[in-house]
Amino acid sequence: MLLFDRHRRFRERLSGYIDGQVNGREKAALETHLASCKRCRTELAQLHSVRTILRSLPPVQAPRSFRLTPQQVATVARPRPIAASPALNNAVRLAGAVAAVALTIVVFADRSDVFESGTTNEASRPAGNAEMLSQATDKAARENATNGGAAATVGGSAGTSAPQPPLATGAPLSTTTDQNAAVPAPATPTVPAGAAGGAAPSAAFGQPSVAPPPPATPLAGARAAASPSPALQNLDSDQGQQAAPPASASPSSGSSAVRIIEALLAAVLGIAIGGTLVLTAARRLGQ
Amino acid sequence: MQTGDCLDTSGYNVPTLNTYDDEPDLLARTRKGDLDAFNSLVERFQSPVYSLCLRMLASPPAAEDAAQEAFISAFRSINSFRGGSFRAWLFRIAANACYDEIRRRRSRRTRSLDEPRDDDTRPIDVADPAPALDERAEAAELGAFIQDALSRLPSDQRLAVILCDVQGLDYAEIAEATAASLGTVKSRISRGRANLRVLLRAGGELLPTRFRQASEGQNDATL
Repeated sequence: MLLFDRHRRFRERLSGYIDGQVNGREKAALETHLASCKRCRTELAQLHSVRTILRSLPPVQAPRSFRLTPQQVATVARPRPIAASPALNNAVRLAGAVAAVALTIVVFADRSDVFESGTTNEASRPAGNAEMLSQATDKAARENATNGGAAATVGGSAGTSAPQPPLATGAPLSTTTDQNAAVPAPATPTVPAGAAGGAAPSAAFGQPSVAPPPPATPLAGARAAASPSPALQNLDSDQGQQAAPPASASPSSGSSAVRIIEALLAAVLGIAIGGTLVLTAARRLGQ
Repeated sequence: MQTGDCLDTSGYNVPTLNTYDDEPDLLARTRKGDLDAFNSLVERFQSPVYSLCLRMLASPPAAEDAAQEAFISAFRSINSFRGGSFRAWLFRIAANACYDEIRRRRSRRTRSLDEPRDDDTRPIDVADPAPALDERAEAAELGAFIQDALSRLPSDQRLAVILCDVQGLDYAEIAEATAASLGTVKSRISRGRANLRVLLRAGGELLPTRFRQASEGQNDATL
């Protein structure tokens, strides 16, 4: 019985032995066993033959080219954004807008409070607040972006494109018309409200001493908010596909009410931020 | 490319080892979404990948679908490739595509009980059962016989044996390609070959003389 077990253990190693996977003491023991066991020698020879036969199979050539076409990559990639329900997209966008407005109101209220009591601590607090504002809104924008990305399940690129709009929104918004679906990269805030929220504080940060343009900001916000469909389309096609997917038009069709609300919220947000800027500037001038 | 103990893919129309130097570059470009770069890799690996699928599925159309699917998902998930052997990674994706197909077949088979096994099982139809004098016909018959034996193995053993003895991967690469430990790979190959040994012995006269002699020797020894 013990002998049989040992024999079986050696048999199990024969295959590895052929491939040079048995080394050292094991190998020596196996070779000693082989020298005395005809049955194992035979099995070893047969396993060797199995390997030889398999290797002698004629090589198989691909019957055709498996090169991928852009369409092949696109058709597989496309269904995912469509799979995310438009309602969910709208909900995420609305939530982002509401959060940004709420945040602005809180910060604005805080600041105006400071302005009214307007005495000590002024040197440090405004800067801190501005920083908090920009950090918080940037964070909100980022969260929105990742939410939007998750909802649309477009891997990676949605997340990376999101931080760009705040830097670029200023320029294209003044020149382009609303809802221009053909506008290239810059005018593609993933979540419009969040992007608007992100754009304003960075402007505040960049030029704190310049007199703010209150009327322009709400407009910019409204415009950014009013163009969700290009954003959606870009989400769809952002794997580098030029083909505009016909199905991507459907999410925007049922969302005009959402867009109006979004625009209103963005306007509120813009006015609030504009007001904040005015107050900041006024206080600095007062100092 | 690694040189392995099992490496003997001489028949493939694949460039030899040192022409793979541009693989990191092609991979880097693929990561940036360069489809042309990826297609260079596709052309390099399409025959081995198709061959793996064909040996796994024993059906040319199914193998074509699985290979195409594997390349598409390889392109889409290229960012999940984190170094190591690209060939092993690609084979892993192809093997998964094959497992999907095997699962689909199983569920299809349970739905229609007495459906015959795939008509494509045999690569070449031996329409005329008369003695195959032609050497090529004989080789084809042998090939079909071996394929049939492979198809009877449990799919894990089949995959391990194909990767080692048909594709010429070494044990480490096989472990990578099957997401298994080295010990598991060893035992799968060992059991797979042992099963094949039994299956092929039943094939008798089809087999090359060397195997027959070995079999006769075995008979002497055991009986």
